[in-house]
Amino acid sequence: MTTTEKAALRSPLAVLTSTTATHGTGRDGDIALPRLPGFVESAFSPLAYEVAARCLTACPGDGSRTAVALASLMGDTTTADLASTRVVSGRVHNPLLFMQATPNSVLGHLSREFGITGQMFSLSTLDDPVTELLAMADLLLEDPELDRVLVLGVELGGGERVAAVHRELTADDGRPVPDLPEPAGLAAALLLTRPGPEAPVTVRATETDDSGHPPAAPHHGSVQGLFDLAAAHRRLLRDGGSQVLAAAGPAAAAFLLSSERLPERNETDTHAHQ
Amino acid sequence: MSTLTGEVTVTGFGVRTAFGTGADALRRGVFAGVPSFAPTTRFDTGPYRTPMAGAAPDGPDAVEGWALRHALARCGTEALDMAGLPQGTEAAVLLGIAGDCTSITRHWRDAARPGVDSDRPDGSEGMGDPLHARLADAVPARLAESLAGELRLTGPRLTFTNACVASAAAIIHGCRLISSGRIDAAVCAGGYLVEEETFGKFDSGRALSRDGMVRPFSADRTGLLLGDGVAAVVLESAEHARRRGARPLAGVVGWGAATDAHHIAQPHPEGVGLALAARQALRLAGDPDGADLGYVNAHGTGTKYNDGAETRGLRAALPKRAESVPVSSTKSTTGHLLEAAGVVEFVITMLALTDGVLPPTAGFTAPDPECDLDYVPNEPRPADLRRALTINAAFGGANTALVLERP
Repeated sequence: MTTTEKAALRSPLAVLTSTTATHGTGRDGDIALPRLPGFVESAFSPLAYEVAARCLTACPGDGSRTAVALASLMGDTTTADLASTRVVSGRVHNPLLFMQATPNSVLGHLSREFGITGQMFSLSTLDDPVTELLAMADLLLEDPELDRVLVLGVELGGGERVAAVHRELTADDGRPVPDLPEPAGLAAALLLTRPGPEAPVTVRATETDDSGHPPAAPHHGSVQGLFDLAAAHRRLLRDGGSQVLAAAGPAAAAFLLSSERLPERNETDTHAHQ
Repeated sequence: MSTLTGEVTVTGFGVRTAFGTGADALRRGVFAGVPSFAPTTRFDTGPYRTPMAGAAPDGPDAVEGWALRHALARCGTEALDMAGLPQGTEAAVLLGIAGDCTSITRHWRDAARPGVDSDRPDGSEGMGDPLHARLADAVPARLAESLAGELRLTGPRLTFTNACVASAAAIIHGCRLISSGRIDAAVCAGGYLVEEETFGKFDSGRALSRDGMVRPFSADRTGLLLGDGVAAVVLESAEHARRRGARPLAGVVGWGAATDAHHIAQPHPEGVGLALAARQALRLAGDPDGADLGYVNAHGTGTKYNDGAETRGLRAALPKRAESVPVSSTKSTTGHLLEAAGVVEFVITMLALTDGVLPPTAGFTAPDPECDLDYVPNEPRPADLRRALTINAAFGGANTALVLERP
C-alpha cells in the first residue's frame, strides 16, 4: 500500500520460502520460460507461474488456507500491446490473448495446479511493491481462515508504448526510466506466514535511520525490492543474523529480517535496496 | 471467525451508468427493468458480431469522450459530498480498475498513422486534450493516485486489478482496514467505460450476446454485453461516522473471497468458489444459514457457463434458503461493468435495501431447468429487506461476496 505512514506491519511475518527468476535480461541465471497451456507470446504469466510454483512446491500446504497477491505496474503489457495492434490493424482478435489478458488468468491456472481456494488478488503498484505486499499479507493473516500468503511481483520489459508511459510517469517525479529489453521479465515470490518453527526468518517493521540518506526511488514498477528481500532471506538462512531492508520510494517503510534458527552474527548490517 | 474491532458503514456514494448519473438514474433504469442496450457509436463495430452495449448515448450527460479519471473524480466527489467528508480527509483510496485502455488503442492507432492524431485528424489537440486519457492512465495505480489527488485524500492508496471482482475486492479491503482499526474511512471506487479494446477481446472470446439482450438465468440466454459503470462509495467505521454525526446509509456486515481452483476463464461448474465466498461472508455476518437475507444481487452475466454454475453455488451456500430468497442480475439492464461491477452492484444492492424494491432480472423469457431459483423476472418487486448479499465472479475463478444491512 502506498502510504504516508512508515508503519507497515502490525505483527511479525515469517518467510517460509522465497525465489526469483529472470528471463531475457542478460543476467546470470536467466531461465527459459516454462510452457503454460493456453498462454502465448508473453513472459508475464509464465514468469509469475514459475516463481509461485517453486514456492508452493518447496512448501506444500493447505490450499484452502492459502491466499495469493500478485503485484505489477500495469499487468501483462506484452499481451495488451499485441491485442491492441491487432485491433488497430483490423485483424481479428486472438481469443488466447483475451483469455490471458488479466493477471487473474495465471492466478486461476496456479489455483488449479495447487488446489488453492483461498482468496487471490492482483494489484497495481507504482512504487516498490514490497511494502504493499507485506502489508497485505499482515492484514490477510489476521483472518483466522488463512495460514499462508504467497506474494509475488512481476516486471516486464517494454516496447515503444511502455517506454512512452514511463516517460510520462517520470515527467512528474524524475524517477529513472527502466531499460529492460522488450521480451525480458523479472519475477520474485515469497511465501509468508506468522513466525513458527517451520519459518526461521522473521520480518518485522522497524524504523528507518532518518539521519542517513534514504534509498533513491527506483523506476516505476521495479520489483528489485522483492529481489532484495528474497536475497536477504537466503543469506539469513545460510549465515544467521539480521538485516534491515529499507524500502525505496515515498512509502519509506523499513523491515528488520532476523534468523531465529541459526546463531546470530554479532553485527547487524544495514542494506538499503533500491 | 472474524477479529473485528469495528463496524463498517456506508455514508456516501456516487454512481454513473448508461442511465446517467446518480441514484435516480438507476431507479429509472435498473429498478424499472429497462435495458440500456443500444448500438454503440463510440467506435466502429463493423468488425464485431454485435454493435450492442450499455454505453451512455451522446448528449449533455454523455460519458463518451471522457477519460476514466474524470468520471472517477466526479463520482468520488459526489460520494464525499453525500458523506459530508471534506476534501483533505485522511481517508484511503481503494480502486478496482484495469487502467484506461483507450490510451493504448490511441497510442497504436497514432503509431500506425504518423503525424495524425486519431482523435483529431485535422491535427488539432488530441492526447493533450484534458478530457482524454493520458498514456499513463493505462497504469491502474496511476488512476488511484489521480483520484486521491482530485479528492485531496491523504490516506493509503491501493489498486486492485483482478478483473470483474476488482472493485468488490477494493471494498473488501476497505472493510478489513476499517474493521481492524487501521483506518477510519475509505473511498472505494471502480470504473469501466465501454471501449474498443475490451469489446474486441470479448467478441473474440464469443462472450457477447447474439440477440442484443442480456438474459441472465433465462433458457435462451446467449451471452453478455458490456456497459458503462463508474462508482465510488465512502466506507467509514461506525464510530467515526457517529462522532461526526454522519448518517449511515447501510452497514457492511460480512465479506468473503475465494477461488474456484478450476480454470483460467470458466467458473467451476458447481460454483465452488462462489459458495465458499458467500459462506465466509455470511459467517462473518453472524448468519451462516442466510436466515436474515432478503435479496441476492447475483453476478448473473447471461452466459451459459456462469448462470448455471452460480445457481448451483447459491444452492450450496444457502441450502436452507436458496429457494426462498429472491435473486436478480442487474447486468440484464446495465450490462457487464467488468472491474466496476462490484462497486456499482454494491450501490444497487444498497438502494434495494433502502428503497424496499428488488431490481428485476430483465430479458427473462423462459425458465432454464439449470437455473431454478426465484430470479425476480422482468418486473421490480416491493420487499421489506433487512440484509442483502451481492456476489461477483471473475476470470481465474475469483469470487467475492458482501453482505449489506439496512441501518
